[in-house]
Amino acid sequence: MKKLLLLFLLIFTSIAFSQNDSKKITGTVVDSKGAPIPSVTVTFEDKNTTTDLDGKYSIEVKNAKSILRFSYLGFASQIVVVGKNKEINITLQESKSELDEVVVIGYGTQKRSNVTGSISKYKNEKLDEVAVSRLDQALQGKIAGVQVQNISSEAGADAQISVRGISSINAGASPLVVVDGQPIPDGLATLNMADVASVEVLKDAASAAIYGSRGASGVILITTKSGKTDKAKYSFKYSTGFKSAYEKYNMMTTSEYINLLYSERAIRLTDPAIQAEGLTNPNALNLLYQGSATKTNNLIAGYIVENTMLGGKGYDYQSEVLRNAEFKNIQFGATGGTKAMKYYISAGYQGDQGIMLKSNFQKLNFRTKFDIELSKRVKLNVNLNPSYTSKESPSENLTNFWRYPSWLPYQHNALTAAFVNQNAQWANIRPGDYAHPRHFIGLTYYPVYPDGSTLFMPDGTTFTPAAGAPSNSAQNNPMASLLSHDINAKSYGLQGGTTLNVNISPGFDFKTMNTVYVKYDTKFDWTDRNAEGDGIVNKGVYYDNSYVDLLTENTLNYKKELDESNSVELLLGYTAQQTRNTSTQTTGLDYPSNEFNTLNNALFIDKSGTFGSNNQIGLLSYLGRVNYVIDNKYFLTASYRTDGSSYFGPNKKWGSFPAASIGWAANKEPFLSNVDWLNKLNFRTSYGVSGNNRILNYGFQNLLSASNYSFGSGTGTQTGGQVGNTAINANEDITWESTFQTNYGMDLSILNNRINVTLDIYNSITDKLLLQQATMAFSGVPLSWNNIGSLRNRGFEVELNTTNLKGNFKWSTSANIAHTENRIIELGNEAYLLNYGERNEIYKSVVGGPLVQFFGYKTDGIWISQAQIAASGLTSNLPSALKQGGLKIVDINGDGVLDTNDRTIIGDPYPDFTWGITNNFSYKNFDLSFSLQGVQGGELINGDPNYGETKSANRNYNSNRWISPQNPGDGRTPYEELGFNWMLTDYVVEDASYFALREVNLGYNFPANLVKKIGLSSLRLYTSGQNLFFHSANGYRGINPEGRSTSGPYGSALIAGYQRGAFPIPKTYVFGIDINF
Amino acid sequence: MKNSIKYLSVLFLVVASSCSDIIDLNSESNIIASDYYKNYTELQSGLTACYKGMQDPLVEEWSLTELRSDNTVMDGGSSTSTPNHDLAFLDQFYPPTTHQGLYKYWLKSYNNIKNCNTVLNACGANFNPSPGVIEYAPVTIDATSSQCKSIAAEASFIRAHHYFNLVRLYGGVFLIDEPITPEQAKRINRTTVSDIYKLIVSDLNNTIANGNSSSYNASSQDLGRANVWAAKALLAKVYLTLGRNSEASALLDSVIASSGYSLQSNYGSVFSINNEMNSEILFAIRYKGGGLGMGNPLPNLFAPTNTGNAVINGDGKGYNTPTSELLNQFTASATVVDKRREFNIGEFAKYTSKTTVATTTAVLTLTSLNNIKVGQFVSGLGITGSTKKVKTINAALNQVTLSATVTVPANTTVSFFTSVYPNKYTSPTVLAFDAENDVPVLRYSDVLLMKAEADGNTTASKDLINLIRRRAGLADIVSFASQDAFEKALSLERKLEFAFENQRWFDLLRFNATFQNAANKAEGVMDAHFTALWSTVYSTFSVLPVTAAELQANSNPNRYLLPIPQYEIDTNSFITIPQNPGY
Repeated sequence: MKKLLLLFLLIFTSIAFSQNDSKKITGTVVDSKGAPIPSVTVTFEDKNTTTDLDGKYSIEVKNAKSILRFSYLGFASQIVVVGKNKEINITLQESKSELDEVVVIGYGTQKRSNVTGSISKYKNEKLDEVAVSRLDQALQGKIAGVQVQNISSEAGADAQISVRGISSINAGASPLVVVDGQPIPDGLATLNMADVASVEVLKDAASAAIYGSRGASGVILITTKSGKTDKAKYSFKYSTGFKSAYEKYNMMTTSEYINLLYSERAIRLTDPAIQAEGLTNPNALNLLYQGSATKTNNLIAGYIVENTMLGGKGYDYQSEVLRNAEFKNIQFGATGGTKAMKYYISAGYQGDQGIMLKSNFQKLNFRTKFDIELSKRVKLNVNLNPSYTSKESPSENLTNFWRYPSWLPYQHNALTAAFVNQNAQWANIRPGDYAHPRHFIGLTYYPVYPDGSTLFMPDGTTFTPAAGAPSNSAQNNPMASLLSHDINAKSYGLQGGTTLNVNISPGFDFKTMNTVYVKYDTKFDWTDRNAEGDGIVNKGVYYDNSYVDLLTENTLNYKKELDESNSVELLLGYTAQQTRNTSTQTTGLDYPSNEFNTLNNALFIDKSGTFGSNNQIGLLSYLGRVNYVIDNKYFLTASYRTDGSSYFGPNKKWGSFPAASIGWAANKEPFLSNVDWLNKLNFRTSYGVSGNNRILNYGFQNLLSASNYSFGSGTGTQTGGQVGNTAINANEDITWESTFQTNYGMDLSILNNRINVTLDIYNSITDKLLLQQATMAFSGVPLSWNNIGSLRNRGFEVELNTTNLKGNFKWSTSANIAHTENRIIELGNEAYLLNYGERNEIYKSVVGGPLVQFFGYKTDGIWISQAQIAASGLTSNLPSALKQGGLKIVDINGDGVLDTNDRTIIGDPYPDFTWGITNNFSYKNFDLSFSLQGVQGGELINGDPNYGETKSANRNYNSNRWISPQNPGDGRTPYEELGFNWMLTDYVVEDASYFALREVNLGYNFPANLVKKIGLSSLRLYTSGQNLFFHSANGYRGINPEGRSTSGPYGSALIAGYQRGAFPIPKTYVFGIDINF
Repeated sequence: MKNSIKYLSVLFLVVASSCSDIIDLNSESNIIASDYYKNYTELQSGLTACYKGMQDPLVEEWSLTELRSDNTVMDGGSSTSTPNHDLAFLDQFYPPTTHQGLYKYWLKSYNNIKNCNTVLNACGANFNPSPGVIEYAPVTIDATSSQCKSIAAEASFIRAHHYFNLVRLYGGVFLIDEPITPEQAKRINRTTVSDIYKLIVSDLNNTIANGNSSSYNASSQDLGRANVWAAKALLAKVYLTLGRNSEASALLDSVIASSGYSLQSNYGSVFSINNEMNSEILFAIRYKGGGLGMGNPLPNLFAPTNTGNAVINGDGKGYNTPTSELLNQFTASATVVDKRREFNIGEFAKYTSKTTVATTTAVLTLTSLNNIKVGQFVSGLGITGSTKKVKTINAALNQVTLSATVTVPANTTVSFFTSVYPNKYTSPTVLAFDAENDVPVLRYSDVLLMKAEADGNTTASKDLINLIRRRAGLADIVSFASQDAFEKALSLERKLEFAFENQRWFDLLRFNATFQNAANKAEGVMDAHFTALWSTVYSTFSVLPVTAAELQANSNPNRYLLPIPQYEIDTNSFITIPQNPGY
């Protein structure tokens, strides 16, 4: 290692340079409109200078044959032979093509045409006009191979991002986010979109390998805006709008549901098969088929409450908890500076209300960036980004609202209060108090309106008063629960640092970046007295977490243009990162009032809810890279990084991550140089190794935790104990997951760069998977860390950018499509792994198959009658497998017995394709853009129908269902609770495909001469919308196919594709103004 | 210039090579296991954790024992939540092999077995199966040989306790007697029932040989620890289960003669939180309330649903509901009520009748008979005690006859109890799932009744049973007509004495071997139980509507054992783990 380092140093230090006598050239650089351009780089061999504020430069050259190069970001470079001129004035043309675009790569930049890896760039044009509060959400569908999934539509919720599929079986398979060279642990949460200049995604392992152990899931590089040498420019941007639910669950009110049951019963009673059964089974006569008389009375009790006490109009919990929410975005900015110092200063505020009550997100960002030229050779960059976010979260899942029966109002009215007062226990309930199901249990229900007239049942009969319990739920009503909880999280962050660049000699730079990332999170989780049940004291949980990350990155960079078309660049670096993470949680109980809720007021501290931890993480790395350009046609890159990490045990700390790639600009070959419609044809291939270290801290050592017990007389004396962990076994030999990826790419530009295509094909193998491997439970711990098996991802990505129309009416399109396929190649010596979700549904990882597949019983409609069951000759020990009106399980192995051997693969969560298209139109001062985005293929397990109350009154589950043998509905829809557990079958596996009109943006730029008159440089008005159209697949019975559960067992990467209680998709409209002066 | 390059390069090298301690980090918040269990204090804290580990399986244990017996039923059968589904399946003898509760019990038991194995291993105590003894390796840590042995004696008892429950619930389970790696575990298959018992007997003999043999002392700071007497009593129960009655009898004699344990004069004081670890408790799993993370969760599981804070703060889940059969058995006759009833059964008036009463004797004339059933308990002004229940209903006259004479003033509002629940472990709490009450494992009355069981139908045995009966306020039994009558009486006495102490199911299985009359055997008892309760309980389950005949078919001897958790079978792709028959 160190030898290698020395070798590199020798190369650096041995490079000499010389100077000759020369002549001086001066001139001015202007743009196509004649305006001077400051900061243009003027290069002669090793020397370079930049133009001043007036676009003027002066540089010394050798002789008349000397060549000057003028380059500036966003403009086509020009090369001029000096000749006899002493003054050379240049007009730079803005580059419309990507040919000379500069892309940010790890630890540097590269010209687009020289890129040999697979790097996608997304420039921030209207990103800050998108009506979402997070950058990751705004990137959905924009970059090929980058899949963004809004797993929750709650305000400020994290989106799930994956680059090129899942290269790891860890939960931490999200890409590394690097902002201005600084890896940010919490990703894109706190970033202000308005500050972003560009987003680059390093997709292939060769590009990401320079980030070593953190690169396996791809790297997202964010470059923030910098100041430019100019007089001060100010900008102000304001937008506001509102959002609402795109779609709600299709629920029946209690009355509608009882009507359905009555009509079904009427049909059922005409069926001779049921009549025959009725002689032995009186339950057939009850409202529910096979339901008891008690259940019938309970159902009717709810019907009576709704009709006699709520005026026949049930309470719609879903509508009450969802709202038209506001969205607000305010941005201020100032940039400018002189050659010696440039600045970029911004302040941004975003207020994003969730469409559910108690869901709010606010973000405040400041960014100050100075580029200071301390001397000709020494440049200093200072970057400070304080931020503040505040997030209020609802305590209740939306499921708890939409599934709630409509007969129960959330507050008692005069009638319901008087009614429940009959029960001595609830004699003190008053109108306006929260109404809970338990208040209504055991009372006698009279079908009589307040005026004394009779309430008839839907079939015209009268109901004999009976005791009932319209709901047996022991929970508080969800609205009461929501309003009695306050969950507020605040986060204070500071991303900042300095970068000192010392130009040692022409082309040879030493750069040291020293940064700090400080984050202080606090959360206060408050529960009112009685909110979680009668007699439960109020509770305040204080949580705080401080995260201090110190990073030093030191690089030496040597760049040498050997001649006009050959150049070499060397990079050598050393980085060290130290992170301290301290957190405490304190639970105080029994406060004197809901207002005085600081810990000093708590009557006592709940020890079982009080914890602390203090840990440190370290990462030490050495890296090097060589870029070589030959004849401007052949591009070679090789890099190497070695990482040492505290995540692993003493013998396994170090990992190495080499990579190499080559590119060939075929269009520059003589045989193609005359093809005038061909502007660019690049072929690229790369191979590299990157790693993944996102594992729990100290997974290499078993730790003990407190486990106390009491001994002795009386109630005993607390005695301290220490116990080994119960969840997952340590493994001292665990080490890096390594991803080996090969990438083949092609870039094609034709017809004057009007059509640009980028194609990438990749094949990656992840080895030594860091797995929480299921182990035998009788060993005492059901999981253990291990490096086993390997996983393959392969796929392709196509990006297409076209300029369809030029002139007054402009039209351009950018589209992308990606396909990725993952396969388990090996799982240690195991044939498969099974993992269970919260409903006992099974996720199988099997060698040769995708990472996760749903495993359960295939169904073929429902059993229509007992006769049909008898005729099938099947037997089963499975609970309720053979019931008419219930699901019909397929006897996969054909042995005549339905048992666990009939389980099979019933789907997988992975899409076949993800795609996005953005069209931009402009006509004179108007512009319009819209983005479509979609996911094709892939399935989900819909957990909504698990509970009786979530499926019984849901039209998506009770339309066309089985009623009786003669009236089997569509023959596919089972009846309520009858028969086999749906959650174990493919009946709940649904197509998760969708496409959406993600964004529409219509803007108007006021004419320049007009705005100048009022002292502005530009003025723009715009309106934009999100999710104005959303189409999900036919078989899908929920409201948001993107929704996923990610907590509890679903935190594991080996359990994927489960959804329960998905949040509705927000439909957003925003109006904005953008002023520059 | 070249100098500055040199300086920079040197600086670069110096910085680059001097920071490897950045990554040599260890946990700062938790003790590292591999550095632990190296001295007596550390062994003790490991042992303390083994005691704590006994609490975890109790969250499920009642559902695998009481709920499956004729003692309790699943009251919340109409709910469709996953835990209620699972409990209904157990109650109906139809647990799917993927059932979460029986997997959790399995995992928690084996987790604590692992804790015990770790401590035993650190003490140098190893199980040698061929002679069936625990042997000690020379001590290599900072503790004396006798310190190691005393620690190992207690850990052995805890391990035996878990294996004894596992073998009775799941049959021949996996015999793990030392710390094993995940790789080793995948090569281990099930063992035989007799091999498991061999380990249990060896462990308990280890406790007897090396444990604390001091007699009971109410102020000892060791109360709650497993001692020689607890081990002898547990081993006696093991021997009774194995049919080795004479060996059991000898052990019990020793406990009765020299342990210092004795019966409490009052049944209720055995379970009082003001009298914990009293002279009757040979071993209990202890809890401590007050927000310490050491509280007893059972009262909140057992309290009736939707009772607000009337029974316990935080409401109840309504699990483990006493059957009407059990309630009836607590009523010895129309005039004599078992004193144990009120300490076992709580009653909650879910429903207050608006009914007013117009008579003053045992016959109440009500304004409405809605929701009133035979067997319900009645309270109201003038009605004292909790034993008055509806004997008959005369719908024509709107009258109910109570089981005992009461005097009720006219126009009194009368409450009819619709919910009964086990209140053995209920005490006032601030937090939910955080009660103080200990759960007894071995009581002195168990010792006495086991002694009677071991010796069979003798006069001495009859006297022991009468000793227990007298405390319960019941008349002495004069003689038993037959061995079966003796066993039946003993079985009933145990049922009432140890209600909700997770003994009933194991008793049913144990008496299976000796009962002559098929109706008294487990299958007969369960058939009668399903017949009696089908119409009021099982027919109301929404999860799995079954007939009484189907229930009776379910409770066949093949299903007396629980299935090996499917998870365990599925996880091992190397060897095939045989499932218990019937699943």
